[in-house]
Amino acid sequence: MRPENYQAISHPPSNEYELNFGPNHPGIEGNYALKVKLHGDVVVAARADGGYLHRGFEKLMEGRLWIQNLALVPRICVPDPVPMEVCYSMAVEALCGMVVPERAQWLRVLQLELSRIAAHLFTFGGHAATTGMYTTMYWGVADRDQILDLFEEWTGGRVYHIYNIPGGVRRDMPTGFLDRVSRTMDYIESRLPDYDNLFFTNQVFVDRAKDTGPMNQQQALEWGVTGPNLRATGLAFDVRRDDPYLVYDQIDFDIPTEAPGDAWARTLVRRQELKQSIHIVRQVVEKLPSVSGPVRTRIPNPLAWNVPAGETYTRVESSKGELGYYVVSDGGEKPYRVHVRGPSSMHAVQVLEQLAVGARLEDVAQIMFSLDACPPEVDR
Amino acid sequence: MVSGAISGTFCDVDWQTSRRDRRGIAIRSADRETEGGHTRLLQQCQPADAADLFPIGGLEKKGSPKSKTNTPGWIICWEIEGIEIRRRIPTRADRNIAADSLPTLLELLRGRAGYVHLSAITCVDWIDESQFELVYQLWSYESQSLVSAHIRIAREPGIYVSVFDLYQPAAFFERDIHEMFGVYFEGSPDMSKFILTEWNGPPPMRKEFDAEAWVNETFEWKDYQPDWLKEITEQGGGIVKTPEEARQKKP
Repeated sequence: MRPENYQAISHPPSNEYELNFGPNHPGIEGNYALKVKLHGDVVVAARADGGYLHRGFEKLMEGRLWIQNLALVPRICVPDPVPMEVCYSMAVEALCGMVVPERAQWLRVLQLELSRIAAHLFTFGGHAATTGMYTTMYWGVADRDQILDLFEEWTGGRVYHIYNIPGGVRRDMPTGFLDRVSRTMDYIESRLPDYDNLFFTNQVFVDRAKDTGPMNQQQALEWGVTGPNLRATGLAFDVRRDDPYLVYDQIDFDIPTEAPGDAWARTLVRRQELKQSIHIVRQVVEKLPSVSGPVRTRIPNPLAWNVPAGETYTRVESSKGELGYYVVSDGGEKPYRVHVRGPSSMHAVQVLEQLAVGARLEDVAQIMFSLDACPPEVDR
Repeated sequence: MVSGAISGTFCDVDWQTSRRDRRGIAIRSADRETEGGHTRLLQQCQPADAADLFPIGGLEKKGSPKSKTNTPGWIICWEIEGIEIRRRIPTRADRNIAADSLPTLLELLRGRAGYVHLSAITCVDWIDESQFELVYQLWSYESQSLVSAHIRIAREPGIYVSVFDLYQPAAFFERDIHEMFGVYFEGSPDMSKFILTEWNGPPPMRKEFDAEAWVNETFEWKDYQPDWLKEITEQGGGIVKTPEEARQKKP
């Protein structure tokens, strides 16, 4: 018998349900989660949930010496660590008014481009895996290893090199290193047709990626999209060309763009960027023997280094987009404030939330990989 | 600090049409509520001053790197109703702005000068002056220049207005600053926790929060003395001293 105040709970008729996508999920890049609301298998709403990779870098850096922080910064973005080192070093140099020797600048460009190639190869693999093509993943990781071998020989570290320091780079290259760089570039370029056959012109991939997660140029500008994702909507913007740093304005390279702005276009832009990066590396290899001089300027005792008070905002183009460091010094031996603006803080949160709506569940992972979202950069 | 007129009543500026005549500074102030300060700001800002305010005229699109790095930052102090241009080099301009004027300035920059990209919002905790500094980095794809707008707000209660209506990327940065510094942004779409969902302590990026002290209070330190380390210590090696310790022993 029901009590007098009994009221049946009534739900509106709905076929919608919520699904936790991540934080441990093969389709998610890193530890990151999405809460998706589904109707059938179509996403009605998505909500990003981060914080699984929060290591508190910005707070940690306030408690460490300027030079100690070099060990922290590459860990902010695992697949593409070099832009982090370069950007932080450039910020400290700007605060100190240091001029980096020309040879060090060319060496940095070489590092940045090798890192970009490695990061893109990694992303292709991940992206292919979300469409069920695991062979590209194995190939991509194996070819990326060729570049990691170069890094290991050059800097001693495969993933985190800690090679760029304020004022230049730690040391020069080993003898005969440029030949090996050239050989690796030849090898990777010779692999590109294979990648085209396997992945980029594969009908399975083209059908899956075309019209998946599309955004137009105006949306991209409003959502703060940068990097290859912005160039996939037709806007040729690249920090390397438009706000040049290091010696990028002495280097000849194109900025590939695509118009459609969907997952296919974003991947295609990266594939063309890979070719441009190989082109840049070849120019650096050609140029480096003629640039002599020291590889770093004289810096004060790094354990008692009081960087002059001031603030600066430096930007570089990482493989994922515009990377910025806002650094404040109060004249002390530690930074007063460091803020890392990772490009993925836009791509992995609000852009992903918007692009996932209307997509089918199996395409969500593909959209995330096509945006090249890097969760450790979001969480910091 | 925060005037009620600002919050949520921005003009709807269509950047695609308005950036064509970005030299003009005549602003539609009639169709919006403005308090004295903002209206006067707009009226006094003559088109002739526009080139000073916005680095859009006379800017070389691509300069050689040498001319850029060697140009000394030339200083102009040009004040108009709380806006002070502190330093300006060809592609960088820094402004100190009264907190009230920022939404107006951002609206001008976005609507009339083509600064459509909000690169970052940074919060700096100046605890000695009991102020928060908010820094807005704006980039123009057309003139290829960066504007940094600096404002200061009181540390307590730490409330400011959101610029989400103008720049959608602000949502992430404001949410992040609210989480890390405890600054509340009125009108921001989502102020819920994102990264520190299981953290109940004070906002950790504030200067008064000492992470090391918190760790010492919360966790117990344990000596790590394995056998192999003892051997090394006996030979004079072992765990490296901290830089502070190393420096203290110097005469």
